Amino acid sequence: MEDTQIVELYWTRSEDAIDETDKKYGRFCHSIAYNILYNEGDTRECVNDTYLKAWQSMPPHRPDPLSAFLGKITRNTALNRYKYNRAQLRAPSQTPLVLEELHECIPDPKTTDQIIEDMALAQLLNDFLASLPEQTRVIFLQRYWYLCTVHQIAADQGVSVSKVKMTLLRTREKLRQLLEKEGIAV
Amino acid sequence: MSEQRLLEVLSQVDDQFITEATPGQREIKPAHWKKWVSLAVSVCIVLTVLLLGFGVSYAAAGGNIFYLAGQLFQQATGNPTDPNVSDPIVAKYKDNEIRASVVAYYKELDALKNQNATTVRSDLEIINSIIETLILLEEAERLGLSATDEEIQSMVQNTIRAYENPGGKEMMDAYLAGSGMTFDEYLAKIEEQAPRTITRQKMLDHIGKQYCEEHGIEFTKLNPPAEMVAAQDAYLRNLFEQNKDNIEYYIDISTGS
Repeated sequence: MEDTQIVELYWTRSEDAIDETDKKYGRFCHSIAYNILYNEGDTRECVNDTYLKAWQSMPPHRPDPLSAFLGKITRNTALNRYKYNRAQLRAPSQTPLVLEELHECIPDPKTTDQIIEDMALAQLLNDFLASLPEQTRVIFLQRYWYLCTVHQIAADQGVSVSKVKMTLLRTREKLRQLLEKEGIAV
Repeated sequence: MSEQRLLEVLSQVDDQFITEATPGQREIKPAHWKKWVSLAVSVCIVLTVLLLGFGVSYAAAGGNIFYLAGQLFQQATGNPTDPNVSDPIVAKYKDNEIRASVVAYYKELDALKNQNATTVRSDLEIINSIIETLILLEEAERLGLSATDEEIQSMVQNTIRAYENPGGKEMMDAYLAGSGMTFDEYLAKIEEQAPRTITRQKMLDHIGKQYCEEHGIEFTKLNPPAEMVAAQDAYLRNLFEQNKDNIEYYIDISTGS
């Protein structure tokens, strides 16, 4: 099914929207979440949360492309889950659970300054990515956006593992220099 | 700023970059592993001459054996006929068809290599061994263990060096005479088949190294520890089992022929 048709299902509040999303993008969302969480149960929950958030976002959104929209939701959800899991490991108590529950009451825990800073950083990252050769950009994002292993990237791109490692090393160094130049310390 | 924040802000990059980098959408060049797969279900005797000659002198092996191996290769690759008429499919792994002629070729080669052996492999064992190679190549590709250009060229150079050695030259000349190939054609075949051979070996080494690391054993290919070899076999069996649903046999597998 075409993306526009799936989005239309969300807009008409048809429950088929979730089924069709799962058919077309289930594996895609699963691989993003799994690369972050490395746990099948958490991954499945994360993908289900993604569908719920997509349901809550459409309308008013009409994402295009749908894949990137779902990918972003999955990635953010999985990263939050990862943080939560780590916090729970550090403090095996009810605290993380309570914080998680309270977190849902806060519209956006970030301050305005942080949001503006993040937006500026995102713009800087976009400019940086645009300046890279296509394969370098793809390798960089497969590692740091999709969190693929270097072996997976090498297989996907048809290059050696050492080439992937070298490309990542050089690109990280370039990014570090750019962030330093812009006064953003990593 | 923490690396965690950088990781989170990366979520906000342009959709076009995310779409562009989606894993699995790059068209795999047929020059890479697809080509090896087709070679895996065809005859690959060219390298066999090296295996036959490994550690054995021309005279000790009986010089004729190399000529006969060359002849087998010539018979298996020369005068192609309509495969659907004269060469039935005996098994399929995914889209890869295994033909009767390939199985017959390996059977004859087995017989040639093991002239004093009391047992020879059945058709089913040969078919399964071809499929095992296909599965292993897929797994190697998945793990990013493909042969590099340097490794392929190194194999070609080793062959040239072996040919410069009088003993090696004698064996290869006998093989070339049997197959009707020139040495340059032979080298071209080596280059064509090297990725598959190297990748298969890298994959086996990878399994062996992983086992040795986990069990505190030193990895070695000379007199490898029996438990490492057993672990490699177990890994292969497991891979084979996992892929059983993708295999179709067109022979009677109860008798293996």
